[in-house]
Amino acid sequence: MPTDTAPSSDLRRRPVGGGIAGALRRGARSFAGSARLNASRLTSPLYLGALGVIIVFAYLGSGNPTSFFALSLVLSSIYITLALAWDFSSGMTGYLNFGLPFFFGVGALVTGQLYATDSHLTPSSLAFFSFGVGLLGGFLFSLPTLRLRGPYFSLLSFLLPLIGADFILAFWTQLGLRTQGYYGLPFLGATYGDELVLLSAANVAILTAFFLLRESHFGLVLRGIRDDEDALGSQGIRTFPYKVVAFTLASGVVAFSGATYAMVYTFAGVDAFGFAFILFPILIVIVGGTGELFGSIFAGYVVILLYQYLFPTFSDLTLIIFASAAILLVLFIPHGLVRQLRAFIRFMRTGE
Amino acid sequence: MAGILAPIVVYGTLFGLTYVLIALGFTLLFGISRVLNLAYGALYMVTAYMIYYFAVELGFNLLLSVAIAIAIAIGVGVGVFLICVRFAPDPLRFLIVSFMFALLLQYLFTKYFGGQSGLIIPGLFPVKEILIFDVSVSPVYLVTAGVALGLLIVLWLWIEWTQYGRTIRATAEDPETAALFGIGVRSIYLVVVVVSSALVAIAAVLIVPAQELTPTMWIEPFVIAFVVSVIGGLGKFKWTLPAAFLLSFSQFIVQFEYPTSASLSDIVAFGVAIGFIVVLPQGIGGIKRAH
Amino acid sequence: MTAAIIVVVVLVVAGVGGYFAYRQLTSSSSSSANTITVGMPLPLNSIIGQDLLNAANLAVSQINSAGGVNVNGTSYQYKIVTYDTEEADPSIPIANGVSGVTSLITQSNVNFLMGGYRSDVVLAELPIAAQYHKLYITFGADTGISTFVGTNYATTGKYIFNGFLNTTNQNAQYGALPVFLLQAYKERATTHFTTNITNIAVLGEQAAWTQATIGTGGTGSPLYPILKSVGFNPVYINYFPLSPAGGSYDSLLTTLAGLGTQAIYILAAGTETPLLISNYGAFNWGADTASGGVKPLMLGADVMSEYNGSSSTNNYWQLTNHACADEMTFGWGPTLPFAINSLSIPFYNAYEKAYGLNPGFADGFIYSAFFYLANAIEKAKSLSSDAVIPYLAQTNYTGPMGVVQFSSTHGLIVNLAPWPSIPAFGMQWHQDGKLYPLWSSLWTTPNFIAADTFAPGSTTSFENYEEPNGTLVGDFTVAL
Repeated sequence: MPTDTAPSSDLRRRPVGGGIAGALRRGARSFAGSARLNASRLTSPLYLGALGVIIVFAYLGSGNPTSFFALSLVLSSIYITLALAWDFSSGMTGYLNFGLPFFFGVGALVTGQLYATDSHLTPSSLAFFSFGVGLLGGFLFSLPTLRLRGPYFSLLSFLLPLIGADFILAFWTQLGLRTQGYYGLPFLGATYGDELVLLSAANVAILTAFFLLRESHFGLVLRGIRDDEDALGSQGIRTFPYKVVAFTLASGVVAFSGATYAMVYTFAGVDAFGFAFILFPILIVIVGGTGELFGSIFAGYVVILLYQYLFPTFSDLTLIIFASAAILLVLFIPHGLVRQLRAFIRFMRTGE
Repeated sequence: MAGILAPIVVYGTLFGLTYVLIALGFTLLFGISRVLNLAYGALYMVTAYMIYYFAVELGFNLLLSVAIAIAIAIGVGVGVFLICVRFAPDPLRFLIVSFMFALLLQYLFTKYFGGQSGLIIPGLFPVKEILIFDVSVSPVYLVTAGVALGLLIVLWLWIEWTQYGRTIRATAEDPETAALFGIGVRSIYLVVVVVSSALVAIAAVLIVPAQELTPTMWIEPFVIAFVVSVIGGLGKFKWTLPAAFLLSFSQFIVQFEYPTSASLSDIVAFGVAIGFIVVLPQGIGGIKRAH
Repeated sequence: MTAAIIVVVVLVVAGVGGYFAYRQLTSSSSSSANTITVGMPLPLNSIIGQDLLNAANLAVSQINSAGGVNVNGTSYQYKIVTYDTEEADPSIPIANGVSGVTSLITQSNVNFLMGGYRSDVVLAELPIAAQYHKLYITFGADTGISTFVGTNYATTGKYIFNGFLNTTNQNAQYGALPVFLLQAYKERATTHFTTNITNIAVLGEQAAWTQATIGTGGTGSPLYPILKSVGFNPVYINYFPLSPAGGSYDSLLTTLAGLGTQAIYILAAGTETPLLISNYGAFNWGADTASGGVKPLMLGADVMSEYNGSSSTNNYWQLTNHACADEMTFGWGPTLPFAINSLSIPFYNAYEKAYGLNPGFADGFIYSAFFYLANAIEKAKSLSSDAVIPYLAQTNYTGPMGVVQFSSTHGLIVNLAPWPSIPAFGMQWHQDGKLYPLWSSLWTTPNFIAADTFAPGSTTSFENYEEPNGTLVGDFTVAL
């Protein structure tokens, strides 16, 4: 059955807004109530390990702030943000969202248009405003579509970047947007190294927020949706508000990332709606493991650095290699390399 | 404006039937397996590029090239199915694998055909257009329309009226019970995969000669097939035609009413489709089943 | 257990592969003595980029074999290092181009940069190149390039030079050329049309570079008043989608037929063009009563139509299934053996001999760039970008496509009177499957005038003109 299987009489009686606000209230309450629990979670080895990796790369990149290495790390950080957002929403719930590039592009274009209107806006204000637009857009898109089952949601999300890009291309002038895209946007930082530090800080914040949410009641429900949404429904838990919150947050983060992308390259245009911005996040999550969050950090640097350094030699063969590797990974190492590595290490240590 | 009625009706009908042909295999496959398979569009692309490779680059006889291309498409479809059944039996992983596979093919074709889009393959039927009610129409689309109708009827009869069709439907509704009754579920799925791969390959053989090859040409057939299947109701061939017409007529009404808006027709058509799916996700054919 | 082994294997392979890739990159960065390394970010996975690289290689081999470049008494050889930006595909992100420029500068340690094609990629690359103080001669067409140069010229803008015509310059020629071609048709083609050609439809591809010409379409297009002023009736001016409804342009052509179109003027550079032309060729124009049920003329800027190579992918005749017969197109070049000046035909011959197909519309520009850069280096007696820039800005060089001079914002200056310093010219596919020049080979007529200063009474001459019934018209003069 394609529709959400919460008791249908319930859905009709309670207004949707109440449900989402209710989910938010519950989430906030469980968050505040378990402050000590959250603090202890932050000492988990994987979390600290991921923090360590981010810090180490930020440090290495700043050492030679105008190098190709620094640029590659900046690009890695952007894709890691996307991977985290995708993992948190799609990876955890099992509702595969192909609409990431739409919000990424929206984030970039909003930044461009805002800067064109008022060039006194700072990069951080542009980024946060894009985040807000992403939240709004994600919310509006989630409301009608998340009522549907996984495959249908995936199809609609697949259509979104295609239609969105078409729409903007067709109506540049009518929408008041600059026709060829926006150039001359402010640099996010003075050098690649500075930008890396900013993006790394953002990733730390995003990772922390998503990690704590994942470990809370909210995350439990999300993971339950992936395991067996019907079972949750029969327990009286309405999954719809949780899904909406997760996807809204993810869309906001993605739009934020799009804004940073526009400011790293000082250009915002339709290329931000491209397939690369769903391919690489999925690739990273495949390597890192779905629902792993930390896996996306490790995998993000590995995948993007590999890509950046292999590309000059292999050019268009690189993506062919990566797509093939992704297929092999999903088929043979479905839990992701990170989890497999952990299992392997455990095996070596304990023999089980 | 007088004079747009004929083009709307003629193109709406003919292209609608094109969509029917594209959607047939998917309606069957998705209707039975309920697993989203992005590789469906990839098979369409594979057929087209294989015809180009054998007929244009190697210079083989056209009919032979077509036969080889269809065989390759079926082979690829079955191969993907068998591999995923063995190694990635859950729907999520299958979805990701099929998406990556379609992208892999896109990158491969971009690389080995010189990054060229716009390639044209020869067709089995003349392309020079004729006038129908003063509207210029390619014979290719007339043939496609006829084949689409024929195959639609055949498939519908097969699924609804034959013993084997009933077996397929039973397996679709409840694979576990079907297995309990001794139905070879795996072989049923295999037959469905072969038939749907063949159908999408035939669609490519007939339609692509009047259009063009591009490495991203897997997207549109997949989207059309999915949208038409969902609006019609999964596995319900009775409603495939109206669903396809909903799409094609929206496109051409907009195209002729607002000819100065270049991309508007696609946006409106898919907007209508999205609206339909959101409001009526079980499709026209599913209305009776939902209480 | 097997999975664990796979993990180890994959990691090892990745490590080894990465190591070798890194070695490859670091070794190429050690520039041997006496080379001038030019980094070229280009869309090498498509014919456009390959074509530009061909022209670059031709220039480099000619310069090197003639003794190279004299830098302060020592002879240096040019060396090209490429990076495939894949930018011909509009969905490829600009990040590739920027990674390319960064990689070429920081890893391949190039002395100068040359390349770029897609407007948005080029615009994103400029601040990066400028930040590294590297001279970059780019071949995009966006006027944003000149704007970048003009802003903060002293600190960053000065490093960028636009080696190709920007859209403003191109537009001056877009308006006038169809007029000349159509007027010629009006005068000569008595067998094809029974009435004068007046109804003209303009189709621009849905892309950034056509925005300045098509505008908001219809009466909102800058072309509208121009076409009207010379006696044409523009029945339709609009963009055409890269991907048409249902996969066929028939519905668009039906609209044009219903409007009584007698000539179609297209602005197309993308790979959807063969489909448009094929559909146009197969279309039944019987319903187009104003044209007498006859196929409208097809003409315009059609980049893909300029290639006449031997393979099916770089020969428009084969690609469109012969539907391009009698299509008239124009470009810069030379893409055919036109004697724009004494350099044109030797360039054409050398290119064709080396690569087996005719040069593309931007090849003359990129070819010339290596020569005038060499001149500037020799005058500056240095390979430092800061030293070379003042001399490059004063370039006055004659290449096979015309005269190169830079404005204060480093764009090409195109003098339009009495004669364009970089003229565009026409070509036509004849029914024998070959591409022919459509302009006088003598270039003696100095009366090519820009659209906004159009003056009746001027003349121009045509050569090898073919009517749609296959009649070869030969050499003649048109009075306007």
